[in-house]
Amino acid sequence: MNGRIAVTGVGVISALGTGLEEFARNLQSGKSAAAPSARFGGVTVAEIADLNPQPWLGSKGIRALDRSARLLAIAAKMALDDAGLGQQDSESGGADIGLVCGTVLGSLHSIASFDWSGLAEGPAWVNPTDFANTVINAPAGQAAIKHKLRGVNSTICAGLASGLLAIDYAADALRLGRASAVLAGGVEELCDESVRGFSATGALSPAGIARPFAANRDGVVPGEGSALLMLETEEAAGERSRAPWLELLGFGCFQDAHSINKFDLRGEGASEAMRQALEKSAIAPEQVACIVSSASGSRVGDEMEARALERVFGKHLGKIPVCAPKAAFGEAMGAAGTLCAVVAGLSLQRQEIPPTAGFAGDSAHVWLSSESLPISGEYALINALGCDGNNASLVIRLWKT
Amino acid sequence: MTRVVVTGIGVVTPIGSGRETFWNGLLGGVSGIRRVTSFDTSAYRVHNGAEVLGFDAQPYLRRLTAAMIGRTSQLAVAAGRMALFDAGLEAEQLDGRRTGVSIGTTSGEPLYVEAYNNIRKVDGADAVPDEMMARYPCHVIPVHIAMELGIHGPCLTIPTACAAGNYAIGYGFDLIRTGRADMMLSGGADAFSRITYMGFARLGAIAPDLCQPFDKDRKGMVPGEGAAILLLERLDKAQERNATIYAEVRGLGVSCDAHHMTAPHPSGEGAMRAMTAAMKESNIAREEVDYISAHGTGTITNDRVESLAVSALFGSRAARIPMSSIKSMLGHTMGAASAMEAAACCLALSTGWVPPTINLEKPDPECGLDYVPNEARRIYPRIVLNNAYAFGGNNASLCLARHED
Amino acid sequence: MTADEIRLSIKELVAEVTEREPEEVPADARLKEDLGVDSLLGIELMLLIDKEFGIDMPVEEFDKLSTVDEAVPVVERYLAETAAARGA
Repeated sequence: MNGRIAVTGVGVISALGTGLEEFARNLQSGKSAAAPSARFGGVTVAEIADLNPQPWLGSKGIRALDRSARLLAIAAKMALDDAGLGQQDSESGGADIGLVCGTVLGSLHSIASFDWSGLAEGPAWVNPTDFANTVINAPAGQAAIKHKLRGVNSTICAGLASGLLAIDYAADALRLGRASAVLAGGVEELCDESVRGFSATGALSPAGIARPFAANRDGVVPGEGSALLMLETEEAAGERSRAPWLELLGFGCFQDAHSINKFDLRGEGASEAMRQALEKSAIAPEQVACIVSSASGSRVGDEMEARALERVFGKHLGKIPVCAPKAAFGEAMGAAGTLCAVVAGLSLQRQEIPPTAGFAGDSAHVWLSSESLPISGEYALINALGCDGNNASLVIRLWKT
Repeated sequence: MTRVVVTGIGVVTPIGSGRETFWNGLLGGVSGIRRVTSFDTSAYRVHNGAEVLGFDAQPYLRRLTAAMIGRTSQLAVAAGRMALFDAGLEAEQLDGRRTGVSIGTTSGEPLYVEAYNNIRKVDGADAVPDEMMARYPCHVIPVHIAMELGIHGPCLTIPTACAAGNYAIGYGFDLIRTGRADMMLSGGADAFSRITYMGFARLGAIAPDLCQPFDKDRKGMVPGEGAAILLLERLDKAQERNATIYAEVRGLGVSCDAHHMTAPHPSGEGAMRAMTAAMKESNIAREEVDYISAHGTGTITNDRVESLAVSALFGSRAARIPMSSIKSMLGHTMGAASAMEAAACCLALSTGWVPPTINLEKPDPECGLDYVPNEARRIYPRIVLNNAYAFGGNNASLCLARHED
Repeated sequence: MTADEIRLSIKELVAEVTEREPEEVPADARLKEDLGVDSLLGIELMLLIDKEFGIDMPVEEFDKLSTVDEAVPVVERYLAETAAARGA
């Protein structure tokens, strides 16, 4: 039950880069993937341009996969290959590999389009293949079919915390003996409906720039993408040719029960989530070497996180380098928590935390930087805090044998 | 690990709301399948559904306003409050930090998508009211329960479609047995939706009149709606407060077919793996299973493949294990289905009765098991399996046991 | 439309749903067993054929068709019926 959880592979596809290398490189350079979008009538988003699934998924058997399914299946292929499990499946004698996928909206575009086609043409003319994509667990189901993932398969919807809660769910599956290898992470796609929805909430930055923690921040930039970590038990990881990359330590979560779409400024839930994660990792706040924050440029959300960070870290906060990568890859919702976990992993590996894109010098008491900052220490804390009241926090470190 | 028991049952169903009405209805073979009223089905060749008629959530809400939350949330919050009440608890008695919520669903709040499109068709997408967008994402369903009841533990939606209820209950079970929570409100909810109806109708999957699982002449499933929530609790705490204990949750087994989005693997192997995993986790032998609550949707394929899986797994004993489908009465309530079925399993374990499969006139010889045709039966089961199979190949089997003091 | 034109159109639709080139769809190949047109793809194919030719073939009739060749005369019949109904 208390077995160690190893991260043995990773897949990333985001506006900031396709594949870990490109993602890491762009992160390091401090660039932002935000740009006015032709697809969305000039609204500034961080989108994946010219998505081409072929290099990872081939040219056959992907027709029925919608955007979310494609993103997730691509990230899955990357992570499987990275872990050295790309050719293995239970038909060839390998263990059943699982997939746990966090998302906020699922394939909203597929759902809305299917309903629209019924309205426009009549129920007799709707495409049954499209119906299969109207269930929120469709991306996880499609990715499982594509890669023969017959193990624990689940979809987790916990708002902006989904990308970390999915990791926790998968880790528990490993600890409880239901699986020995599970891909865990999240996916979110940008579509007409979601961009409209974002705009309608008033959360978007009119300037099209996400300025985490800055006094003049004015909102978020919507993003999309998928990230998956291959999680394995220590025993299963021992069979890989390469040592594991990371170890998952303590996880914490807390629901504010305050609102479905307004951050709870009191920050109690956010503090509590962080405290739980630290406690379960058996470390004190000052042992955290770096923090990957959930801050997105949201007026209220960033303030909530800042308050919570101060409450948890006290005087140590000023000494812990922080990165707010949503400034680079946008508010990628269901994928965000996992993308932030990848940033944390990269930071520990390089022993330096990347710059926060567009950082202009103002971030209250939080130590952001426009350049990479060296870190010393083995623990990274990742936050995924939501305006839906779900707050999650995770501590990781590099794998030590 | 800590043992987990069910101490409260809250249900809003096509045959009525509340544990007693639900259970009496199931044992009495009451059907909730009727002509659809919530939208116009004249463009379809089928017209039946299992709707929750005359449902008013407001009496169950003290902090939230029914009109400001989606129908699925309304059903879920009402069921949540009913479950607490059934357990003899007030929300104020909960330790919010040690309580969580997990809800399964298929569609979340689809009525907002429908409304979006309705408005878009007439006035264009810009005319869609802003607040609709915020209420759509399915994670708001358990958040509404948390807001209503003051709950702060892990709070999430597991939208694994027609098997979601089992997944959500399994999650609640895990959180309590690993010590992360002392209580969980876990179950499932789905609202009647033209999106769902349209899809199943286009697949030719909807029966024109009755839902007849395992019958030779079965013609399909009947979409439904509703919510079912179980209050899961640590055994020691339940005993401390002298709670009525309906059943013990023993284990969850899941698998993924990874074969087809809407059809099961024809060998039933995914179903077999899920049942096997559930029994292994529950530390029970096949011989101990006394009753199976079937997925039993009433489609040709599901009922045949499911029966094949049970036969293959239980061998010569299979035909002696009563296996009924309450979808024959409730229709297929999607994300709520396996939660309603779990509730029925709890009541079977605590009362000794198992509900029938109604409308079973000519058992299909290709299915060949004991489906408890038409009449409830008192068999005093001790170990039951609740099976559910979903789009995307998600299979889940929940194992429940009679609680003996 | 000639029978050959109908056959070619149907081949193209089968090719589309099965992710092949039209040349890879023999007119006498079995849709289900040889070309992998399962129940889901079958309904999709039927709808595409209906839309392509402006007809409304019932699913029970479509289900009986095993090959592209078998579909041709059935489509021809529905085309004639639809034309007659319009004329009337």
